[in-house]
Amino acid sequence: MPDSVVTYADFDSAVEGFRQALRLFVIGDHEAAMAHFSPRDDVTLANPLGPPRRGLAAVIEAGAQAAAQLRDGSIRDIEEVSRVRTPDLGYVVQIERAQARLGGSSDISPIALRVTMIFRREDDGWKVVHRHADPITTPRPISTAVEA
Amino acid sequence: MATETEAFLAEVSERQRAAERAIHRGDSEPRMALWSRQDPVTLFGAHLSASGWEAVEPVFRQVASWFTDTVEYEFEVIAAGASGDLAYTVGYERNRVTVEGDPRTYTLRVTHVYRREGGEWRIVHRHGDFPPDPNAPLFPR
Repeated sequence: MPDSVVTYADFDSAVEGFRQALRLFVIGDHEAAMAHFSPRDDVTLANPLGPPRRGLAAVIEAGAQAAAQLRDGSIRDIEEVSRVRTPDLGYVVQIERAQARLGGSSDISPIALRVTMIFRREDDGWKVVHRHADPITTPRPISTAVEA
Repeated sequence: MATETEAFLAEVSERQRAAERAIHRGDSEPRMALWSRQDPVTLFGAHLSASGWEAVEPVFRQVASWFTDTVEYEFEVIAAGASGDLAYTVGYERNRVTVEGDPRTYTLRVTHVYRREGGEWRIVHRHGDFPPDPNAPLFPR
């Protein structure tokens, strides 16, 4: 279980809370971001570094491994492509642009991820039940594609 | 919520599998029939991305043009949820296909989001990518 658990009474606050937690993630601190994930068995994370993980323990382990590769980072921009909420389920599609020192490198590298996140209202508020993030590797800027 | 999710999966899974088998044979029509026309409709494809049906539709036709035959398409759901008129699935797609004349075998990890419109589930978002290679460079540019 994470050391801290955050609760949000509404979907939009949970989306914003996770974005704020990403600011800590890119300096190597995974705990705030991981505290947003559901404790239920069906929680999943498909991050840029490994296969999809299911279950909170596996999700936190993957998050910790990823954050451990990041130093001195900052979030440059979060471009929201779409956001939909219903009473008990919501999702957001976004482009996350950040920069950080990766894997012990002394250089700051840009990071751009395509991200899908699913949120669910649970007993103690809105939780992340799924995050799918992959690096943008196409030569064409994603913004060109999504704004077409 | 298990019952609601099971009902959603029962309604959608086989239709989605049939649509994916079709597009991997070069026929985009069943996939297009399964997708919503109402924004927001978004695609983070393994190769191409698009937002809005006007942009998504030509991408589906382009994707279909890459494929001429499918030997095998399997969709393994590892997590799913449905509530009211919104649902999602997380899974793997395993493909043995012919791409521009060459046989290929590969796996995608995929997230789909669905919206119920007029009583029928439609896909409104697809996010698919190749599972990361643990030996690949971290966050390739």
